[in-house]
Amino acid sequence: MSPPKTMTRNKASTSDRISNLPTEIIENILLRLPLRDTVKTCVLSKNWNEKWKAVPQIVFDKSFCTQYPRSYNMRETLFNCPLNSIRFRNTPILASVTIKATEDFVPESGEFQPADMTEVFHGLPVIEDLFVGYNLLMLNYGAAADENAAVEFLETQDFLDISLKKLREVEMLTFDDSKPAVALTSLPGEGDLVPCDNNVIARLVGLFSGIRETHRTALSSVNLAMEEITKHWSMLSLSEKEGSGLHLRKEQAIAEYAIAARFLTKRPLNIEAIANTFTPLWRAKSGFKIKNLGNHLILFSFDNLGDVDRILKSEPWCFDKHLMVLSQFDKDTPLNPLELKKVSFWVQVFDIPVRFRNREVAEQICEAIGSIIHPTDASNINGGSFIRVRVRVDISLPLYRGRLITLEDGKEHWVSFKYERLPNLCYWCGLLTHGDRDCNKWIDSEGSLQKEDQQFGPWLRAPPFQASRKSVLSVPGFFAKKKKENPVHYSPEPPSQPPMAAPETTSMSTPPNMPTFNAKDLIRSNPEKAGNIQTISNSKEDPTMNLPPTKDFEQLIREIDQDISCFDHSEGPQVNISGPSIKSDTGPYTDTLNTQLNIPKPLQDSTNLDRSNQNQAQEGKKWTRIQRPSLPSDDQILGIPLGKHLHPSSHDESPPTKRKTPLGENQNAHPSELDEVLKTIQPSVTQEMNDQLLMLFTRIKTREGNHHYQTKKANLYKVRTTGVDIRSVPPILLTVPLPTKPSPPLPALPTHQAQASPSLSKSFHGSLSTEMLFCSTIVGLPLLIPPLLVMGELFKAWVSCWEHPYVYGVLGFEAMATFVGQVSVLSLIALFGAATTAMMYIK
Amino acid sequence: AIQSSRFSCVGFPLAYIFLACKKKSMALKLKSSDNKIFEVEELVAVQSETIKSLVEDGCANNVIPLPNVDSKTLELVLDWCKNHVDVKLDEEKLKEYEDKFIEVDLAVLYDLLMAANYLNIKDLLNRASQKVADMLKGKKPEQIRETFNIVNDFSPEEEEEIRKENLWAFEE
Repeated sequence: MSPPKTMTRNKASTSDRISNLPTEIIENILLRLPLRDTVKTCVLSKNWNEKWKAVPQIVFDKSFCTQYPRSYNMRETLFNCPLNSIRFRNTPILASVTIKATEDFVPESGEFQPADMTEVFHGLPVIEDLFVGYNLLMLNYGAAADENAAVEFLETQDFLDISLKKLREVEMLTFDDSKPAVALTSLPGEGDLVPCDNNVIARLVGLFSGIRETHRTALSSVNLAMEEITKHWSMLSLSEKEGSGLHLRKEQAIAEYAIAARFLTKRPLNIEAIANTFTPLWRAKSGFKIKNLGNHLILFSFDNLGDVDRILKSEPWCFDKHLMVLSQFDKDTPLNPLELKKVSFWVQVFDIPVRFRNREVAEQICEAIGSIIHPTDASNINGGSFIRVRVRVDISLPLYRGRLITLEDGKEHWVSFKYERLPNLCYWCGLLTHGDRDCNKWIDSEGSLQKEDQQFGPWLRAPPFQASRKSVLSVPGFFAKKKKENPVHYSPEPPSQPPMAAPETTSMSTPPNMPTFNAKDLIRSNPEKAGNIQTISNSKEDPTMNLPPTKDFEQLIREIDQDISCFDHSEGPQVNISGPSIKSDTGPYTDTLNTQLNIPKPLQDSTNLDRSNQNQAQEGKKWTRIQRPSLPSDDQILGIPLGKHLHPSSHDESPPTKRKTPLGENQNAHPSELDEVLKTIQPSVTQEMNDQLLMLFTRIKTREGNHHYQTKKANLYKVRTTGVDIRSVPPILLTVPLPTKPSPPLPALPTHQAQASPSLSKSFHGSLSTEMLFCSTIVGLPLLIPPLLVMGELFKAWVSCWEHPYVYGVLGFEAMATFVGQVSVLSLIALFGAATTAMMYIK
Repeated sequence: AIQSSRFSCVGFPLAYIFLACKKKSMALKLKSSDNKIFEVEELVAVQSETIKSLVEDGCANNVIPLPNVDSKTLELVLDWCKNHVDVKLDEEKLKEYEDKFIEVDLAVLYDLLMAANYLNIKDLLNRASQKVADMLKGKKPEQIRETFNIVNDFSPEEEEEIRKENLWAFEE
């Protein structure tokens, strides 16, 4: 598009108008010239000498290079280009520098080094936009040039020395300019970072934070998404080192001792609820901080290592009846939720042949489950019928139910495992990561799976091991014993009266190695239950503790057996798993049992503490106990020891739980919890408690439907039979409305208002509307036609209508619109008239 | 009531006719520096950012005076605008038109540049600038001076010094 020569010759004016054009026009013109031509204008006149220096944009591209004499190659061109030699003194801002290479123009390799760019940039004033073509990158990085190469390219340029404080945009362009490989826009300002790769972001931030540092501009305003920062923690530490305002310091100054916890519950986490749950459980010396890292990850930060160790030692912990996977947080490694999959459990190994029943064998057996942890305190290893092993279990694998061992004589023997404080697990696939309602196997089966098909069950749970309940004692020789100082509580009894001694004399204050013949006798006579014979209350507040027993031994031992069989049912083969209860009032409850009801009372996270701690916690709290007329005197035996836990089938005998979960907090109102609540009702039920109960009732009802409500009702009945004074309970408790309550019939509408309508229709004459319609159209038309005729408009319209047939359509439409408008007006008038008539008629 | 309704019924068609006759034509009146008035449709005129802001501010009720643009230039500018209203016009046709449009005398080109700058019509300004740039491109300074009537007020020594300063640009 070269200008025609004739044009220039044919000039109308002789004045130099171009020199006097406004600056913005001159700039606009110079912008469109190759750089060389732009520079050339400096010799035109004094007026033009400085004009080109105001050009806001410099483009290095093909046309720039090809304009040069052959002696220059790209590198020399750039090197000798005006940017080095010229001085942009008068240019405040060079809006953009584009170094662009097009597809057909790829500088030869080695011709140009990125380092040369530094030289180029040194001559530049403040740059706002810097565009670097993709081809330049290819020079150095070959075909593999990508974002990383682009950043490397930028990194080789020592931007620190260049006054780039106004740099707003760095763009790396591909051939077709369509997709920027790297785009950093508005760096000092709002900071929209649009790179494709997080790694690139991190590097760029590191790169440009240096610039910010030199210019004292806050880079803190660069909005990096928080997760990007955490992902590239180490990358960003670079900028932190340089002291820029990226808010990294706080993140890095994380407390020395931290526990990362992965919550396996499906529900969203509420930090406050977590705090409420664990503050009393953990009792950290100087408190702890909770940080939600998202993705069901929580970071607990502690001030001292002791707390961390203690908590990790008393794994497993649960929240919302689901397992928490804890791990001491190592700040050098990124936190990957999937790596948190090891939880330490106490595994009770049952059914080891007696002669092999020792720690080494048990640990050997447990090696299949996971890595064995050897506790320093070996006193709690032997549980009588089982050996306890601390194992670090991989929760991504199903739980091991047992192991087949082969004895010397070739006989195979099944050793079963039970897990202490096992939280909710999937009974279908044995994974701890989900409940059996969320299991894919269950969902895929669409309900066709039978409960009998479950490969896992509540029998995997072991009753909590209680160190105070010694099941193994080593007894020195009879005469050696006498030389020792005897404890105060100990009074030797003749062997004929062992039961008196067993529950009575051994108490918390008794040294564990205290010799008793009675215990040994009991172990012999009843090896199955031997471990639990010494059911000793450690509650010192119990006033019944020191009372002499009034029942005879046979009855007492039978009752103990009953209670033991309820929660130790799976231990002996003669006890049915489902635990047929001795009590008779469980009838309606067990009938309506479903899977969920069968789940044992999950650990309430409160059993994880030392016994001493628990006692502390209990201080000042009075445990309500149901009066049980059928067993009036065994409370002091059953009540306290069984109170440490709650077992599924012991729902009717078990005394209240230690810690009642607040009603409002637990959304998942479990049936067994309701049981507890109901059992804790004392005869003096307050109105508040009743309201709470009612809340619980309605919630269960709405969540689980009517069926469960029926179940609750049955329990309610049971409460009555077990001795709660029902008369003191306000009647509202017993009359919880059913959800399908029919709405009361609507009250009859007042009828006097509707009386006006018949008279209205009666007074409306059908002839009226017809008459008015006739008048408005037929009479109106003659009024319209004459003036149109007189003015000749009608004729004109007629002619033009022939020319443009669509006019007919328009005319028809307008006629319709007019008609509709008239009819609406008419109907309004008719209504008013009718109303008036009706008024008169009524009078 | 019935009588009044008859009047209104007759009135409706009359009102329709009246409204139809007084069809509102959205036209803007532009007054050039030599007091000529151009009536253009709003859609055409608002291509100029200057006029557009006037219209949006509600100052365009009367004649809009454009003291910096003479009638001859304004006619050209409006012609350009009319041809750029229809976006559907295919690119080739448009380019053809632009090329033909810009083949003007240098004096007219200056006027167009000034008018486009004043009226703030981006594409016209760019096109005219491109035209000037084309005239400058690849020319020797002497040629440029001749074309644009630029008076060389440098002494030969001064000119030589400037050439040396940016030697790379003047090397052949």
